[in-house]
Amino acid sequence: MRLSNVIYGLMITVLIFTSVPLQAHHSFAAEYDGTKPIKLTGTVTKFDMVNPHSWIYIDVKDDSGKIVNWKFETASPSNLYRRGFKKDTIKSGMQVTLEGYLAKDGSATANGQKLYMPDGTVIILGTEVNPG
Amino acid sequence: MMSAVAFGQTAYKVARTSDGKPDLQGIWIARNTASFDVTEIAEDPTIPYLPEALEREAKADRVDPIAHCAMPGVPRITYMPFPFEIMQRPGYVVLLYEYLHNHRVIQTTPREHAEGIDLFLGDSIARYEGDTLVIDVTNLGNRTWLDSARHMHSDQLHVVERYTRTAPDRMLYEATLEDPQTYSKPWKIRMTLHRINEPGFELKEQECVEGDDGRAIHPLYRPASKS
Repeated sequence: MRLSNVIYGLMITVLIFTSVPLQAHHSFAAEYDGTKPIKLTGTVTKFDMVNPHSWIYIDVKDDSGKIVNWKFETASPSNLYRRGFKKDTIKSGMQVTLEGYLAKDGSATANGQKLYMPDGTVIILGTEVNPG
Repeated sequence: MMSAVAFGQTAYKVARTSDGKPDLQGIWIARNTASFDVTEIAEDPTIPYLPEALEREAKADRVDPIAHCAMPGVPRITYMPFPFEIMQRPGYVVLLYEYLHNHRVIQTTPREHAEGIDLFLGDSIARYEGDTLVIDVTNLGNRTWLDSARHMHSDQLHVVERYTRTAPDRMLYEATLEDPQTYSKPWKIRMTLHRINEPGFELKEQECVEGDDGRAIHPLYRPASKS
C-alpha cells in the first residue's frame, strides 16, 4: 500500500508545518516530551499567574554548580485559583520542588505537574497531561 | 457639560425589565477613537499620573498588548470600535463583546471581590442605582493598557463603571479609575454609547490570530504587505 504511505507521509508533513505558527497556543505534545519526566528543587524567582497559562520560575544549581533559571508552565489562573492558589501563594525566595516533563527544544523549560511547597503540601499544577 | 442629570432633564423615561431594573438591553457601540487615546474621553485630558508611574511607563514595553491578541481589559473593552450586546436576567447582567469573543457574565448579588487572582477583564460585581447600572471592577492586573497610546495602570486599578440610558438610542457611559500606585487621585472618563437599531443586526465573529512573525492578524494592526 505504497500510495497510502505517501498520503500518510504527506499528512504528517502538513501537520508538522502547519503546527509551527500555532506554537503560541502550545499543546502539550507540541512542546513537551511526555517520556522525559524531571524533578527539580530550587529557589523561586518569579510566579506569573496569568492567562493563558501560569509560569513558575526557579533557580536551580546544576551539576557544575552553575545556577540555571528554569521555567515551569502550569494551569490557567482560574484553574489554579479553584485549587486554592493565589498570586502570592508562591513568593520569590521560597524553596520548592517541581515535577514535570521536559521541553522538546532543550531549553530550561518544563510542563509542571506537581509542586511541593516548603511545608510539604503537594499542589497539582497539571495542564493537559494531568488537568487536576 | 454632559451629565446624567442634564440628560435626565429630557422627557425620556428609562424602560424597565420585568423585574423592575432599568432596561439597557440591546446592541451598543462607542463611536469614538478612545481606544487609540483614552484622553479623548477623559473628563480632564491630563491624567493625574504619579511621577513614579510615568517612569515605569517610560521603561515599559512599546507594543500595545492587543497587537498580540491580548484581551483589552476594562474599561477599554467598552470603547473598542466594535459592537457589544447587553442582556439582562434577574440576578445577572451579561455583556457580550464582538471583539475577540470577550464576555462578562456578572452577578448582581452583593459579594466581596476575589483575592489573589488577576484577570484581563477583572472581577466584576454589578448593582443598580436608580436608572443606572453600576459595575465595580478590580483584579485587572497590570498587563492591559487603556489605549494604544500606552496609558497604563498597576494591578491596583479599581474601575467603577456607570451605564445610564439617556434616550432610546443613547447611553451615557462613565467610569472612575482609581489606582493609588499610578494616579495621584481618581479620574473619570465619559462617553456616549450608541444603540444599533438596524433590523436583523447581530454580533458576528471577530477573531485575532497571532501570526508566525509575531504580529497579530488583526483588523487594527494588520501587518503591512511584504510585496
